[in-house]
Amino acid sequence: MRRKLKNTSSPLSVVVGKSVQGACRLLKRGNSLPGMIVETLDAGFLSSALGQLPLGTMIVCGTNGKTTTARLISQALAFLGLKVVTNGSGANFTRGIISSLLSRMSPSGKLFGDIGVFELDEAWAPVFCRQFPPSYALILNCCRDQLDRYGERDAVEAMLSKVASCATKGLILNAGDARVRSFIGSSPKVQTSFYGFDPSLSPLFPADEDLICMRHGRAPAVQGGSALVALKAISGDKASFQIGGEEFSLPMGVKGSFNFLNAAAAICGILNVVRCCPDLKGSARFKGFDFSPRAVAEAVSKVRPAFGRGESFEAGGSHIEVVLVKNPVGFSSALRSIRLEGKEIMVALNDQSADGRDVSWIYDVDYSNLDAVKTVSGERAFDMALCLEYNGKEVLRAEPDIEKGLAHFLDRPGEKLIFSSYTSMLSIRKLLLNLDQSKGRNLYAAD
Amino acid sequence: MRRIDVLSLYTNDMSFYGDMGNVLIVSKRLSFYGFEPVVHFYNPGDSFPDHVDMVLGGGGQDSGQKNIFDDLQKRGRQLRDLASQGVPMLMICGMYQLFGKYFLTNSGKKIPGISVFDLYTEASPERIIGNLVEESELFGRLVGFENHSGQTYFSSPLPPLGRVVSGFGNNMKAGTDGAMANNAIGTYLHGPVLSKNPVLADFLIRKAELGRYGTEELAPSPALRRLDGLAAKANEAASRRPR
Repeated sequence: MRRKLKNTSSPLSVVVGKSVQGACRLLKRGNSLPGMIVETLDAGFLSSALGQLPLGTMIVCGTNGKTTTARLISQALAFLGLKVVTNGSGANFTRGIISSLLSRMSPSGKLFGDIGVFELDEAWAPVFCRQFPPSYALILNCCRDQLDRYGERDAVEAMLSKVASCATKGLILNAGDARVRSFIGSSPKVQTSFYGFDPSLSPLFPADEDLICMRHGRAPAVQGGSALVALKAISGDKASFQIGGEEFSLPMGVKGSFNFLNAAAAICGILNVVRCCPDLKGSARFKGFDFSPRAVAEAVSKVRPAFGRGESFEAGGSHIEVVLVKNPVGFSSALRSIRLEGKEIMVALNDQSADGRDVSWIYDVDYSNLDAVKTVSGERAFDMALCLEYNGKEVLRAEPDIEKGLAHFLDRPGEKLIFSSYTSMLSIRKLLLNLDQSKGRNLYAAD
Repeated sequence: MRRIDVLSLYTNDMSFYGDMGNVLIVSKRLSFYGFEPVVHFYNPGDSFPDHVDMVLGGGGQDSGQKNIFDDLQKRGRQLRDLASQGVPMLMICGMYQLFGKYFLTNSGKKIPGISVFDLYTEASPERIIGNLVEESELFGRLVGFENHSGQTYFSSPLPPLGRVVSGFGNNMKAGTDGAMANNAIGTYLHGPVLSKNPVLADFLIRKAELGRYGTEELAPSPALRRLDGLAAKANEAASRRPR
């Protein structure tokens, strides 16, 4: 039975999947169940569904920036006129992808779209690649993250390297990450494109090694290399990208220099697709579309932040930005790249499995740009407060209860910035949206 | 000002799980107690400082352990001598294992350690990962996080650092974590361990002071009262978290 189903999208699994999806919606349950059922029922589902997309599939993988980068690519491609199939924010296991495909499919198993763009969890990406080798793989970075889940970073590097070797058409790599850079040649027949940053910006993008070396007073290694797309300069909310011989300076929809680097990744990813698909310009379907570097860069610049990734809210007369931080490199780059002056700061740290049960990593963050912190909250509020105090940063209040912590943080209006781990971000976001709604204002449109 | 020289052993390779926090905590506490902390970051090939009052080492990946292995063999005797002179040491996870007699890999290869502790470690296919809570005769309740695939067994009866309340520690059977020899402490507690267990930090500082200046009195510091208040709350909160 299973063998027979192997390479055709069985209407049966599609019908079952779609029915379960319908039921889940009615019951207001999570969205991964239908994907899980179809994954068990039909091992060939991914390949038969994604095999239908004429321009292929791109997967986005790495420790930091997956959600934002996948969003930048898929929305920019949509701005450029393509029909893009993508997974929802954070639904980055294979079952999440299957669920998102089901909702785009006809009952007969036809998938509508030109191209697929999916963010994939590091551990699930090799599983995905075994079922369906993607046309394009974009690898962002490889740093210490969730060591309680992976044991070692070397294990993550091996997984990412596997993903890089599976790409069939194009490989997009971060030249500024030594481990990712080394994946070149892992898939010899593909078009490999690098993106990176100007050496002058390297203090903004520390690697794990830099965070340790700097404690010794050693300068971080300057990285860069020749790149198809380079983040050249940053000035406020504007980013300059060098693409080939041209330079484009654009006001950006996303915030923080690490997201500007994700934008360089997105531009590079799209241009890699353009390079690999010569008929993109010739065919009738895409006639009149503009895939020039300028058009691509502009499309990427217009995309707004993903869920919880540099989103902002208005509540109680305050303007509040929420930034997800979950590992030393991510937190340190956020502190270096977001303007902190004049803003009150809150840090929230939970230790659920989605956050990482081990909070030791907070001691490897470079807090030197930080001044005082007004509120620290979450299940590990006291760990966070202690760490900040040992780093010489005064903490006004440590309150493990997030609702109480947030109330203290918002006690007077102003510019505010919240750094939060994943599950505490979900709670904070919910509370802030409620505060917004109570004033009858809808400040965040999901898309 | 009275100077204390702290050696941070193999910082680049063996501080992968937040253990560099121990260096920060020791330096800050030394300052608050009125000492002048001087930290020597030591990596393979570096020259060894002339004087060492305390040695701190952390956990690393298997690849990190490989990077430092040759150098550690060269420094083994020096470090053993320091330990037998009573220099306080804190070795976490990977460095704790390498301060034992040997590490037996999955493929049956014996990697020699430097034998500060009379114990050995065997690789295990199962990795032990989770919150670790233990009760120590000397230091009270210690909390942290363990993440290791090696299982450590004592070759002769050694005082463990603590009896495990929740988690595993040295191995899946013994119900103990860590070991003590003179003033050297080995443990699987990350966290970093000194953050939520400042009593351990003060033990290391007192012994360093004793070794260098012949006394072990720490003047109370108001700044530390505040930090230790937070540490007590963090210890309490961590001890209640699920494994």
